[in-house]
Amino acid sequence: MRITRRGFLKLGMMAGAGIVLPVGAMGAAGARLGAANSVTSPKVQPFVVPLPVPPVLDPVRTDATTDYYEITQRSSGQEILPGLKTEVWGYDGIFPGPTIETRTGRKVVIRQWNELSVPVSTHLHGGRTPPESDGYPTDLVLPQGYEHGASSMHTGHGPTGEHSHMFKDYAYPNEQRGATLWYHDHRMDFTGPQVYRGLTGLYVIRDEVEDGLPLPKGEKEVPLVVSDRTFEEDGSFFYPSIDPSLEGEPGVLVSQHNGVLGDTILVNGAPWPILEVSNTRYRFRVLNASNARDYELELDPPPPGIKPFVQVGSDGGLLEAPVHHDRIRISPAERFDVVVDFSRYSVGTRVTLKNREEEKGPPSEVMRFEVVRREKDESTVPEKLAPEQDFPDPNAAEVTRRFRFSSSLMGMWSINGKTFDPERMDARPFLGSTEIWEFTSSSSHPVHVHLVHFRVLSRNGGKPGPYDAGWKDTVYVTSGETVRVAARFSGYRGRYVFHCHNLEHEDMMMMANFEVA
Amino acid sequence: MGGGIKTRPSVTGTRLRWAAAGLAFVAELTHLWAFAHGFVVFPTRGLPLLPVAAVQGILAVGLLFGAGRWTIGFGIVFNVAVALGWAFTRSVGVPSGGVLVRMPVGPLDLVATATEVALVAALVVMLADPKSYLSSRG
Repeated sequence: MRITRRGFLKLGMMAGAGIVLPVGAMGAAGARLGAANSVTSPKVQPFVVPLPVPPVLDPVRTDATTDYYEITQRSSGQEILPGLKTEVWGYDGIFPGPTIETRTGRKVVIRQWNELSVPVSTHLHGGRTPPESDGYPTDLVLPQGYEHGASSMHTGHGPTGEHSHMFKDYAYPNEQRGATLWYHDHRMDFTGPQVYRGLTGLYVIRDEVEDGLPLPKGEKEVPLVVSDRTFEEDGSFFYPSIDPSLEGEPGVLVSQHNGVLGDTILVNGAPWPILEVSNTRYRFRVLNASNARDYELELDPPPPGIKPFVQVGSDGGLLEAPVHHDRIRISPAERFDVVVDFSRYSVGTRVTLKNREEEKGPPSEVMRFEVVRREKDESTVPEKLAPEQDFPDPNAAEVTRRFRFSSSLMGMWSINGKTFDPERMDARPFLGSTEIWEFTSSSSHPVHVHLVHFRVLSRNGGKPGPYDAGWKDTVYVTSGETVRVAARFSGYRGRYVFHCHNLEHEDMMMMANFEVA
Repeated sequence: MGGGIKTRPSVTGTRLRWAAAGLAFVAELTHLWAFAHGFVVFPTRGLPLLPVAAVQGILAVGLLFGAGRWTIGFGIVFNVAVALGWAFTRSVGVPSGGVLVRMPVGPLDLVATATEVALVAALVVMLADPKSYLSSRG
């Protein structure tokens, strides 16, 4: 068969258009994924940087019932890795943001200014908060002169929430027990990248019960905000956004579809820090503020003769009685209030807080304690911590709701097969009612319910797990598990959300609405 | 591919054929771009676009070198199907986990669909007056 020059040219062009160009496009896509996967943080010598403690914010004014604060969300340069500047988006420009300390029953009003380039929404995690101050994902504070639409790329809906311009006053009644809460960004579709850039801070409520306990106090009560980040060579955060401007398409590259894991562990914003301690008890308020990483914390070496962690509190405040742990498994957004007794170590001992979720590599270590001096210790952990709690009675529950957390074919994450829709109501519990909610999961998800605290009733039909004690607002549901919880929907009527607190899952629509009616 | 028409195409006809080829080529490039973008988000969002792009590219070359009835008919059916598929996934959704997930409308797929609609229109005109547009070498 004779092929003419024209025929040859045609065949060649067909091969080019039909094969070469598509293969080239595949190569381009693969190269983008490969480049993202190859980013590793600059090397940092661990256990050199002293543990910083976020400053406690002073109110701008107070009256008989209320403390008023102002916080400006803005970007700033912060030295996280020694010798390098990282641009953070912080509350008052710092990461983690300033800590709010208040007391049960004392009202707090925070004016949140937005000086960032994108909309924000601030959620007080663990707060029993009226709906208008809960930080619903589409209740946005828009920056000055923001011209872009604030609609959801995922749902195609236009603005469905309240929009404020430049600032919003969030009112927190604090009609709840003393507990370790935290505040963080909750913007629809973009919570993951905005928290990753630094929008997190602690919020501690104290009460009389806690005042009366001889737990470690003052300098010996230390917050540990644990998170993980990957850094570019120049010190900037590396987050694999599809659109790094955070104004276009939300989500992350497929290689991080299951959650963004950093290769550098930060505690209170410092990489693998060190804390010098005396040979006494310390109380640590541990928050896992990571986007997606869960930790199994362990002390190495363990204190001789005792279990290293005495848990005194959970998400919702003090436990009735302490729980002793060899390890603490903590998933994103959970808080564990633990006491560690360093008196079992001799002066000079270096104790490493390890992460046994990782066998080796940088994320297998978290921070170090160095016992540097002897001191008299007047603190103890009493056998009874809090009065008997009025946990919701599962027998009083009139409704049991079942929620299945799973992934979907198109890269979305769903609850009961549905991706988040701000205009769809998925549950309507009555004010004051008790309900049983049953969470099942195809993979691991830290499930967070806004407004309420709940009690874990069972895991896979058996007893609750060792880390389920006390009041919870976030429960870790691992692959194939069924977790039943009982919650009392009291406080406020209105619309709230519950969602997976793996922030990449949340941004990819693993969220649902409930309305307290 | 088809053929049998011996009439020499007019200058206008040739220009329209080239324009149709250009539209098909633009459709290929936008699909490749959308593929590269969708694939890094989630493979199932990108992979279906790859064969569409390849077919558009082959169609573009076919039109460039002079297409017959079969090529033009195929081009019409194919592009109508692609445009309808786009409309379905953006209005009804893609079956996913037992439910339909509605895909977002983006500028890239809007450009691709507009190009395909224009291409269909051009191909229909060509098919309606074959003497002016069709090549004997189709």
